[in-house]
Amino acid sequence: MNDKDLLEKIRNPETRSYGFNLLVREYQQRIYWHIRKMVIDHDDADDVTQEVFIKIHKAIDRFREDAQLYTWIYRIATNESLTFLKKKRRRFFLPIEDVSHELSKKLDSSPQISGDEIQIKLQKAMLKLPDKQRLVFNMRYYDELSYEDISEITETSVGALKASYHHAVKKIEDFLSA
Amino acid sequence: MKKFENIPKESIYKVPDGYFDRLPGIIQSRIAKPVANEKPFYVMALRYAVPVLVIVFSLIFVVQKNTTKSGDVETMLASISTEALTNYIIDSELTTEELLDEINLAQIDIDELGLETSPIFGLDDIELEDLSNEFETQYF
Repeated sequence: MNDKDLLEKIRNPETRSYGFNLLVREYQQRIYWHIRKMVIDHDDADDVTQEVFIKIHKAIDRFREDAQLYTWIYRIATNESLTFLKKKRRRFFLPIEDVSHELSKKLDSSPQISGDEIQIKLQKAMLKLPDKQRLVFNMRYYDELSYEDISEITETSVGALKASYHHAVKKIEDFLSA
Repeated sequence: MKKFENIPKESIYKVPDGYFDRLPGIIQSRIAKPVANEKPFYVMALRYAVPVLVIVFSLIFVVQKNTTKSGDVETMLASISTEALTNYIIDSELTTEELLDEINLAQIDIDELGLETSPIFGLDDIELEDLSNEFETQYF
């Protein structure tokens, strides 16, 4: 089912629930993994993912279709992830380095994370990046989104995104070489 | 090729079994359930605003009442004519000394009235009478 049909079903009161269920099933994995790569922990990712879909449900009638549905959903998920990390930092009065350290520990200890040593090291390297830079790196490297798509999601210029990605790559390589 | 591009891209993150099967149902039930704690803003505002307003108005009322109490007497006296007050004093047969005894004159009041704190104010009736007799004897 394409986005147009999906939206029609959701906007029809008789099929709203069914249509929204379809939307969740269609996008849940992409959104979950996007969030998970940012917040690391499964339980946190679960919370944020649920909040994202609840917000989508509340706001879907106002979606203007001047952007792709996926871009719009992705943008909500991005903002919620960043807000979550900011709140986490504020709640525990943690500066960025301590949040990074805390998330790093989860990489070592969580049963929901397994990978070889170099993969874990790469994730730890990424945690050294500022949240927004890490976000751009994830979307470009792992999700393989175009700069234009990332630009639409983050409302940042393509030039700035390219620069951000280039710096992120440099920092990661320096960390891996150390 | 960049160093990290040699590293396998596959995700190191896992989810509990059946997580994505359950997630849509969990989200639907959260959407369907009325949110217990979510009240319209104005209800929350009223909940806190009303008690605060009651306290504020009570305080204003109390303060005003106390202010009015002390002002009332002066206002009442000001509304009575001097003639009426004078007649009252005369009719009550109060002596000057009795009146002065009732009044706590501060020094500033005495100064303002142009009164001298002469010994005459400390004299009792007998002493005053003796003085006036002496005066009459001397001068008449």
